[in-house]
Amino acid sequence: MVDKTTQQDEQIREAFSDIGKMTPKEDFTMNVMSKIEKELIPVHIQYTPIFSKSGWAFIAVLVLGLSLSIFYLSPESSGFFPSLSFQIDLSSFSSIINMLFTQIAEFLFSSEIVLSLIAMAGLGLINFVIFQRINPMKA
Amino acid sequence: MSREDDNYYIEEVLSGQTQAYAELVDRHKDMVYTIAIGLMQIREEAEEVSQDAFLKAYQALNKFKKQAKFSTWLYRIVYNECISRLRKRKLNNISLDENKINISDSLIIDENSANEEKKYRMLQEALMDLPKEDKTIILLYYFESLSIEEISVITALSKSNIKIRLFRIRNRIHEKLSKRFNVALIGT
Repeated sequence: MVDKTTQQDEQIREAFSDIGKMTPKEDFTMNVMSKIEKELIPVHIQYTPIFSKSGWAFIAVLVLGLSLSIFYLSPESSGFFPSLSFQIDLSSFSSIINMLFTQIAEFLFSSEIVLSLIAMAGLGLINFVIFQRINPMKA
Repeated sequence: MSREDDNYYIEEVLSGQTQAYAELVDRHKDMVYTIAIGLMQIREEAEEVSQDAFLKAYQALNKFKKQAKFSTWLYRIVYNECISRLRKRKLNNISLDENKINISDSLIIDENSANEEKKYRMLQEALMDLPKEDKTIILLYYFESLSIEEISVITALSKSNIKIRLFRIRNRIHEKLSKRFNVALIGT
């Protein structure tokens, strides 16, 4: 029984081998390649975000924290945020550390830096959303 | 990794050398087209399905795990594409009963060589009256000499189901081909 089956299999294989595989039109490969080049984004281009999700969460918290701190730490702040009007007492630090911290604090809390950070975060978010949408591998 | 290995070209494509994919297409186009023509029966459709299968494979190339052979993975894509098109064909009520196609009436539009024409007719004759799953099993098992396990991966049929189907159709296909090729029937 096994021998008969094996022999039959061999004969069928031989017959199919005589028939041979079908061959598509000569320009088949060219057509496939031109479709790939025209219609598809190359497979190797994949968007990999610079920051991970947790990275973006950290940036968001940082930006939010900085924005809120402007209102809380600013002595002349008013409006819908309660003004606590406390000031960081840096006098206990040594003069160098004091100067350094003061300068860093002034630099960090300057409106230009805060606005730049907010703008960067916004642009990064837009960039992230757009690229995630057009990425064909995610579709 | 040698140039004989499909994985070499897959790596090339994934590293940005899109043209390396042409080598993979060249290597596998005949079998892909044979499967497609076996299932679809109309050459124009088979060519379209084959092209689409290669495009889909290209798009999903970075998802190919390399646990199986590239060809096995590709044949699964072709098989699924054919099944999906056959379903659509059925839904659209296109009166093309795949089991009752008159070979002499089948669409032969392009001027292929006489040899291609002969191959096409013989293949259709051998596969006529078989359900699509059986056609695929026959093509993969006898044409491509794939194992039952590989065929199971491609068709999503269980190994025992494939063995039963093979057992059932072996005699039938042997008889058909024996008549055609004047091969002496075993055990007769």
